Formats: sequence, C-alpha cells, structure tokens
Amino acid sequence: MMNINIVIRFDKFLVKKYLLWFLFFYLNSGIIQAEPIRLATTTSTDNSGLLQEIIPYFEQKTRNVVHVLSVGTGHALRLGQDGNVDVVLVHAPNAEMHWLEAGYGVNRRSVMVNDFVILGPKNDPAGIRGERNAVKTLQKIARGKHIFVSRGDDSGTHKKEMALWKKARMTPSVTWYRETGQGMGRVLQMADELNAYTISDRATWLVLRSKLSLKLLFEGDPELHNIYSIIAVNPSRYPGINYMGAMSLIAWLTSVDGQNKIRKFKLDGQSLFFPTAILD
Amino acid sequence: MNEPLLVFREIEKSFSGSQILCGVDLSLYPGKCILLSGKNGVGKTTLLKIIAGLEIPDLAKIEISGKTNCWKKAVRSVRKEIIYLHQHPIMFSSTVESNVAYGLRFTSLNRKQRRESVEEALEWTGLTDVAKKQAETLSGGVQQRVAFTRAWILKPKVLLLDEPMANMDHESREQTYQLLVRMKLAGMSLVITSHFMQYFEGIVDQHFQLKNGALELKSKS
Amino acid sequence: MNGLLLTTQQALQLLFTGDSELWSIVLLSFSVSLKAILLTTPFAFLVSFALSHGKFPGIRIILAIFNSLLSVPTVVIGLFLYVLLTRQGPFGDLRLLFTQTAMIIGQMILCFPTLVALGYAAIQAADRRVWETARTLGAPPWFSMLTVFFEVRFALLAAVLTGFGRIISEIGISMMIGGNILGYTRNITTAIAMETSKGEFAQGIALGLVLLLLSFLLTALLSYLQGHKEFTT
Repeated sequence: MMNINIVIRFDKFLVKKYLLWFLFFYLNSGIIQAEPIRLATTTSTDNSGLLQEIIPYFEQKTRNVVHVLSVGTGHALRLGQDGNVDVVLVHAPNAEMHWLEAGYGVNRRSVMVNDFVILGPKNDPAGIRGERNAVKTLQKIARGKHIFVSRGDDSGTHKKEMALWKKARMTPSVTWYRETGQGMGRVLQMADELNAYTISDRATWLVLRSKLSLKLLFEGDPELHNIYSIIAVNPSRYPGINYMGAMSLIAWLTSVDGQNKIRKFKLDGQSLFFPTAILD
Repeated sequence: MNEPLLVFREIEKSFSGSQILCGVDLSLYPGKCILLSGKNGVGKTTLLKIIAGLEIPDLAKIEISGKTNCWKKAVRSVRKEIIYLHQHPIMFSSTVESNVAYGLRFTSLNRKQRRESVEEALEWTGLTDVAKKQAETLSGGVQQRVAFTRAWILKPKVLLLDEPMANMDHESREQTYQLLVRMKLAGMSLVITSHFMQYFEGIVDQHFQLKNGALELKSKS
Repeated sequence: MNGLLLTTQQALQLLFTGDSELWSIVLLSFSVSLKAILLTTPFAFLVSFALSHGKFPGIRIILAIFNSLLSVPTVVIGLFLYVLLTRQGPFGDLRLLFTQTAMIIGQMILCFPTLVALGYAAIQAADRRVWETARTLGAPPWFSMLTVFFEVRFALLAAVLTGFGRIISEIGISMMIGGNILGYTRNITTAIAMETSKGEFAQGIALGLVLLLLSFLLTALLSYLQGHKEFTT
C-alpha cells in the first residue's frame, strides 16, 4: 500500500514539523537567547574593516553579541531615533548635536578621527594638486566645471562635502555635478569610469586604490578631519533598549584597551583611525 | 417486496436556472436492482450523485426504517453505505492492490485483516495476477474490474453504477454481468444507469425512465 | 576585460576553497528560504483547495487578488513590513526587526500568493473524479484532499519550486527587514548588493554564480516535471 500509507505518515510528519518550527520561532524570538547589542554605523566605517577586527575581540572579552547594521548616517540616526538599535557610531557632528538636543541619545563620546581625501583623474585638469586648502580645491573644480561625483545620500561623507561647498560659497550645478545616492565604493568606481573628481574617506580609498586609475590629489587640511562619536540610544524612550550593552560597548571603545586596538588597526600599511577618547 | 433499505423523497435539483429533478422519489431494496434510463444529459448521473452524497440537492428527504429526515442531517450516516462508480472509473496512481485497499483504511480492520480482505477480493474478481501492476497502465476493462473490487471490498449496502457496460467488449460485459449477479446475491441494492437495457436482462427488478425531471416506471418484474 | 577575468578567477577560488564566510552566507540564504517555503506550503495549498472546491461567494475576487499579488515588488513588501515591525510600529514590541525570523515572515508573505495561485491551477487541473472516488470510498474530506494532492503532486512540486526560486533570489525584503548583519541576517542577495557597493566584485560574482547555478537547477527540475506524464492531465 505504498502511496497512501506514505501520505498518511507524511501528514503526521507535517504536524510534528509544525510543532518543531513553532518551538524554533519561540526560541528565536529573543526570549531565551542572550540579548544582542545592536549597533548602527555608517557604511564607510564598516567597509574600512575596523569593526570586523575589533568587535569580535570585544564580543569575546565581554561575552556579548554585537549586531552591526551598516547603513548611511541619516539612516543610522533614524534607526536610533526609532529605537530599532541600541547604539550608533557615526561621524556627522552637526547632525549628532541636533539628535542629542532632540533627546534621542545620551552619553556621547568621541571615539576616533580619520580624514577625507580628494581624488581625481591622473592628469588633474582642475589643477588642485598642491593647493593650499580644501575649500580652494572645490572652488577650482566648480569654476572649471569638472565632473564631480557625490554620495548624495545624507551620509557623513556627504554632509562633510556639503559643508565644504557651503564654505566655498559655491552651489554645484547638474552640468558637472553627479549626485549618485550610492555607497562610497560605488562612487569611487563611478568617478573612475567618468574620470571625475570626488571626495572619499581614506579607508575606502586605500581598499580600492589598486583597482582604480584615480589618484589622490589633495589631503591634510584639518577641514577634512572626520570625527567619529558613539552615542547610546536614550533608554527612556523605549522599554527594552539594551542600554547596559550599549554602555559596555562605549566603555570598551573609549578604554585604553579599545583605543589601542583602534590605533593599531592598519590598512595597506597605513594607520587609518586616530583614537581621541583618551589623550595621552 | 421486503422493507426498503432507504427511501429518497422529493429530490429537487436545478442547474443554472433549469430544473433537472423535480420531486423524484426512489426506494432502494436489498438484493434488488433498479435500471435508470433516459436521454443523455437528462440528469441520471446527477440523481445518482445526490443519492451517493456527492452532490447537494436543493431539497430532499431520506427515510430510514420509516423515519424521515431532511437530506442534510441524514446524508452523513447514509453516505457510508453507498458507493458510486463512475462510467469511466479513475485509478489512483498506485498499484491495483493499493487501489483496492484504499477504502479499507477507514474501517476498523487491522493490518492483517486488511491484507487478507484485499487478497480475497482480488481473487473474487480474478485480479490476483495484476495485483502489483500500476493501475493506470491497465486496459479499460481491467480498470473497470478494479473499480468494482475497490467498491465491493467495502461491502456497501447500495452500489450505484453509471453506464457500467459502455465501451466494453463482449467478454468484459460477461464478466461484469456475473459480478453484478453475485453482488445482488450478496444482498446489495443496485442502481444502474444505462442505454442498453438488453445487457442487464435477468438482473433488473425495476426499470425507470428519467424524463422531464421525474421518474416514470417502465416495467417491474 | 583583464579585470573581469581576474575577478571571476578570484570568485571561483573563493567558492572552491570553501571560504567560510562565503559559504555561511549561502547557508543562511537556504536556511531562511527553506523554512519560509516549508511553512507556507501546507497552508497555501489548503487555501488553493478551498478556492477550487469551495462554493462560497467571492472566490473569483479572491483569485483575482492573488493573481495580482504574484508580481509585487519585494521592496514594497519589505517597506510595508518595516513599518509594521519598527519599534514605534504596531508590532514593534515583538522585536522582530533585523532578525532571521522577520526575514522568514517576509519571504512567507512573498511566496504565499505564488503558491496559492499555482496550487489552485494544479488542483483545478485534477480530475474531479479523484475527489469523488475518494469520498465515495469512505475517505473523510481531509484525506480525500490529500489524495487529490497526491494525484497532482508533480504540478504542486513545480509550484513549490517556483515559489522557492522567487524567495531565494529576493533582496527587497532581506535588506529592509534583515539589515544585512554579518553572520546573522546576511544572505546571498544582500551580500551581493553590499559587496558591489563596496566595489568588491569578486565576492559578489562568487555569490552570484551560486545563485545562477541554483536557478539553472530549479529551471531544469521544473522542465523535467513539466514533461512528466502526471503533470499533463
């Protein structure tokens, strides 16, 4: 009685399977598992590889689990505002101040700093190599109407870029300005394809530079410094925010151990981030 | 005539506006065979399916041992004793054995009893040789026999056969005739629809014709 | 051109040396999608059966709705679910956002209309006599339904494969409500999106090859089933 027997047995099996899955879901709903710390950070931070290196160390040491969501700065702050994450690590001081004032976060600590660089085609048609400061380079690019590729996505990098345009008292025009709404890696590739200028965080540049024909044309201006801060989401706004977890991550990142780990992180032989929480 | 097993009364059914059955009455007696004739599409199959509980009538009553109930309430218990056989029976995609044993799993027999019952039934209809063969691959005549066996093994009180001899060769018709005789002898009440009254000579006890939604008694033996 | 060849070479290397991060991403895709399809199928086919055999009003409308849901963009479902699952949303307390469970739920919603619509087609194509024979031989309705399912099993399997193909290659839902968290909710499609946004094409291509291979296998399986006798009733 092959087939019909199998169907009956299959039916009982289905019932058991349903029960097992309900059990699985129950387990997965976080009631029984250890609570993870949800960190929202920016794509450029995550892409540098720093977090992949130091977070597992933190997890092991403090026996925590960290879930890293890497999105744009705007999105990261939004996630914190909505209570979907416990802590945010971003690099947009103005946005952060507004965020704190609105009461979304508490206990902001400055963690580290890195810098932005301005990249462009090998032959540098705008002639920005050796220029005195960042604002002047942007002015030259704008006046020469050279193609410039922008993040255009409200990220930390984009906010920095916008602040510089403001300082330069220039409004980019669509004839030469390309707002892509894409991540840093994509933007670099597009700038490469278009032989255009762009502004990038040093980390992404170091990771991709061997694959691009773009060259680093300007660096070093303090205006291009990029300050990273970590902020805990305000626990009084939502019940169940893993505030203790968030604070333990903040504590470690700003501890001697954490700061040293940040300092020691190198990409392509270069140091990328400089710790700022504890000044020697 | 002894006591009827079941009496169906006032069966009414209409499809998309047209009334197919208007107040049909039918009494089923154990060991007796009713022949139903009528034009194609007049509603013979519909009537059989209503009796089998496979179609819902607009109105109907069932009388069991003198007590009348409305169809909806009584059909559940009555359904178990009645089996309907399609004109072209469909085989489940498994062996002949599997097909025959299908209905047994809803009886209270244990595994050993079921196996014995299947063996006995296959012998009864001469299907032992093809027991392990895939039923859909066999000829129409053999499939017909499988369908009979499938029904017979459950010892129903009423068997409804829709055009049982259509598209059969002489030999198959002979075999089917013999099966019907044995079923009658076993006490089953048979209702057969057919155009070919001559094939059923000798077993038919009552002949009705379905015309204009009502049954006309044609002959009675 | 040179760059492309080099990248593909790197991609194949990643695949065959069993790069653990890569294969854990592949495993996650399968785990999530398999669970989603297995959980949805029984209920979806029940609905298909009810639509096929039922005699209640509105069947046509319901079918039309399911057919129109067949090609909903996944980002729309993802966005919709995000709004429901966010902390401030109606189901925020369940804390399901950015979990595998949420991804599974999202994919269940995605494949449900497909399974219902294709299941319905399969059952409609089934010979009505199967149901009638099963019932008249004494099978209760639920068992008769299973018998019908068995008789159209190849068509039903094709429906499941189609549904699976749809959910394993979706990104809109996984990205929005999974969050692409490494080791937790990062699956093939979100990883491809992320790697390419980083400019790391080798990883993206490697994962893409896995997905491509899978879709070839599914298509081949579907063609085989379509040629099978049982499917053509």
